[in-house]
Amino acid sequence: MTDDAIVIAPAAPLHRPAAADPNAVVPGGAALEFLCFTLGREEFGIDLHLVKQIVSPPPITFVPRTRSYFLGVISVRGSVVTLIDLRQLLGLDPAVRDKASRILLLNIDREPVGLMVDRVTQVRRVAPNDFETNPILEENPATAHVVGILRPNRSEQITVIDLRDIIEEALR
Amino acid sequence: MSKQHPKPHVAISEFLSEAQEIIEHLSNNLMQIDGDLKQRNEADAALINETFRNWHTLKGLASTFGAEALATLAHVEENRLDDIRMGRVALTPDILDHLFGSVDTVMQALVAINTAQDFGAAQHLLAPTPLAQGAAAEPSDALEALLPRTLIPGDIAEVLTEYEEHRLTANIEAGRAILKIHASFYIASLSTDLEAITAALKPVGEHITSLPSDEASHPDQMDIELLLALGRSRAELAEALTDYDVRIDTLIPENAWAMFATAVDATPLSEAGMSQLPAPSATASAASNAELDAVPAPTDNRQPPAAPAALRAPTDNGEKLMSLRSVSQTVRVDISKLDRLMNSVGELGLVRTAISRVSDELRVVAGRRDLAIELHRIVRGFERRLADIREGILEVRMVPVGQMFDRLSQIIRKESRKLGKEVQFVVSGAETEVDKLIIEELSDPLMHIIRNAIDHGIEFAADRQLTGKPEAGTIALTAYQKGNHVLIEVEDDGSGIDTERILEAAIAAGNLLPEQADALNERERLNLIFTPGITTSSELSVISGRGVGMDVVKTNISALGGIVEVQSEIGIGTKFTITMPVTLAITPALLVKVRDNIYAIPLNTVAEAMTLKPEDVRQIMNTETMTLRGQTLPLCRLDTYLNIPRDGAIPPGSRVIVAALGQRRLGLVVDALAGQQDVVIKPMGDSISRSGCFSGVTDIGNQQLALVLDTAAAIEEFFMSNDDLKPMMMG
Repeated sequence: MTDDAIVIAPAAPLHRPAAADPNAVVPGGAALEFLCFTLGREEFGIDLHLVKQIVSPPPITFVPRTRSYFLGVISVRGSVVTLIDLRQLLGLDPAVRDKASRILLLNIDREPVGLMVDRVTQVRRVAPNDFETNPILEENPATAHVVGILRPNRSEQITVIDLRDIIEEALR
Repeated sequence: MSKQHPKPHVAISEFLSEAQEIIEHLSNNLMQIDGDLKQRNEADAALINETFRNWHTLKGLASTFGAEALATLAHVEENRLDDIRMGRVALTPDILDHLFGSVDTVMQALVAINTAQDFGAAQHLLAPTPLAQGAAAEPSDALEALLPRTLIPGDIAEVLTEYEEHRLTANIEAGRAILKIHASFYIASLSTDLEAITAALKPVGEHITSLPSDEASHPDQMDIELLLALGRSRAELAEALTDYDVRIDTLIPENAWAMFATAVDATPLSEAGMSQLPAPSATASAASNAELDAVPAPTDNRQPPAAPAALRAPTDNGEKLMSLRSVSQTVRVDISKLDRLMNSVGELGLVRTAISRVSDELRVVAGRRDLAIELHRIVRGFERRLADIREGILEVRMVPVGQMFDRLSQIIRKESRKLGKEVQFVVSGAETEVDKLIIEELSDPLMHIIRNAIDHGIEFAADRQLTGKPEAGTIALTAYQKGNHVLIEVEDDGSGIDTERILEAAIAAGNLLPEQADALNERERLNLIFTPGITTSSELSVISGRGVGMDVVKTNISALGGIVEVQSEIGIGTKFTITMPVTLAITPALLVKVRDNIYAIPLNTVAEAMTLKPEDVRQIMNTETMTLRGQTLPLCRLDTYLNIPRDGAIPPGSRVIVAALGQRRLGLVVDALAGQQDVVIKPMGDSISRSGCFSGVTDIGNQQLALVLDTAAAIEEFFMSNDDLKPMMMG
């Protein structure tokens, strides 16, 4: 079997215990780690530990008669993974697959799940202080799952969402 | 072919073959422990742990089969081994002798059970033998026992099991270095690689546990830390690990305990800070690397055991053992291992397809024709052998239904006695073989059907006499193979199912409107027993009404790709027919194309396939049909069924797959056929399988998955949603 599922190396090591990294010592407590990706023009972040692996999309087998955010199933090293379009879950337009598209394989117990995102950007380590927890947002389906906003600098803004709830709901 | 009662010794022989296997392990392990004790004055902890497990398994087995005396004995020995493995009791040659004695006792008991074909036969042999003399635990000083633990870093101590912790402290006390071996593994081959490295470490030390590390050098990899108590020199360790790319950290250096203990002696305990310890760090390991290479493996100054337990050659009971051996010529195999093998065979099938493709391409290359023919011949040979392997594996999975029938007959006897009914059980086709997994899943539905038959079907003797029937009722269980299916029939000569009462129940349960009732024919009325909410228990029942209705029976059977049908006549009796595929593991499937997607349809549900001529299609009410050999065949466009419909008439060139299950037939209309392939069906995640149309997916090469159509569900849904089809339903 050819391994088309290339694993991209994220910008920063995926897992590193905070204590082992001297840079991790930030004022205000342990650093938070987020995997960041884009959906459309917006950049989102999720808890890094929720992601097991990132792969390029292999051929997708559409499964008829399922809810529209189910893109189908894929085969990742012999195991069958349920593929979900995160855009649709968040009430955005359906995903359009291109070269930059990636699938985030999640670390959840229910079943093997992959999330299609437009582009993976980076892994961010931030001090809790730089994490705005009660943002005021305009109402949309995603708002309920927003847990905070990251502002790494003046021009950037990353919306941090709690994926666990969204996925739990989607799989139910 | 038919027999009246189960063979009572079936359970016994099952028990014996399992018990025998355990005892053989146990005896081998004890032998090795004995050898180790003599040579090294120390037993391998892993072996002792395994011996503990042996007794534990034996205990479980014995109590499952109701061999209480044996279970008690095993329990006593299990506890003893637990004390030994946890270091609460020292393993002395006397204890070992005693353990050997217990093994002998169990062997004799097994022989006795085998000869008498009765679990009770061994009772007198199994009186618990008290341990000859004082191998009582020497409770070590509690404080002392606790101390080596203080050397274990907290984050590690937290995750260790009691046993692992005990092994760790025992090794620390023995002055061994505790190393943390950090290795990265590809997730895909994690378990085999981990096994290999653990095996490589075995000769140089005791592998205590493997802990996942949260460090990962690569998202594709997983990092594992193996805790090893080093029993040999570091040079030997390095050699054992030459093939592996690992990082070795010293968690606790050699002789740390002795140094720590000295430090404790010199300072008040509270001040004996960890700072005085030889630092458990990489620097320490570097230093000790050089210095400790010279230090030989931990020496032991204890005297060799005075009375080594003899290597037990079977003597006077050797003969009996031989006779016991002859009863079990079987190997017990975990079915998941067979699944794995079957998966590999499925993948080999993909390889074969790939090679054929190359050979086909080669054929059109000028001047390469001879090579193409040669390759084609090789592929054919490969294919034949592959088929042999597949058949072999399938054969191993197959077990005769007789085993299940025997269990069922016991239930019949028990239940009928409880109800005061006389029931005769007639079995035929017990030798029919079915996939082990199917048997397991089938026994509950069958049990339910049989309970229903005893409870509601068979009348009391007095009533039977009135109608001129023999006093004893009969339940006949019949199995036979038909093509790729196995049919199991449960037939009783009872009162039959009163469809009027079923109708009433269905209307009462709200499953049926009174005005609908008239439109149903006798068969459809009968089939109402499979709808949810109508448990026959609503009528009488002590036995069968346990909250499980016939709808659950039907669901369970459908889940296995089977189908259940019922025939009944008032006053004559009822007959349930279950049609099941012979195996689930690998199944030949037809690959079909629908709107550029490939779907697999299990071939055992396909009667035939043909080209559909548009002029043959006739519309009856809302349904398209065609005539096949004089019978009307309803057509189901697969694209419509799958909710990806297309407007207009059926396109020319479409194919019809005639799906047949039991007596129902349905023509599935597809765009094209895409070949035939043996497929291994893998389950999908729960969330996405809820569409209910597919029984799973299968790999068709090039990372492509094809959905496997659940034909039974398609037929079911089609007929249920097309009222005007009901008359056609039975074909």
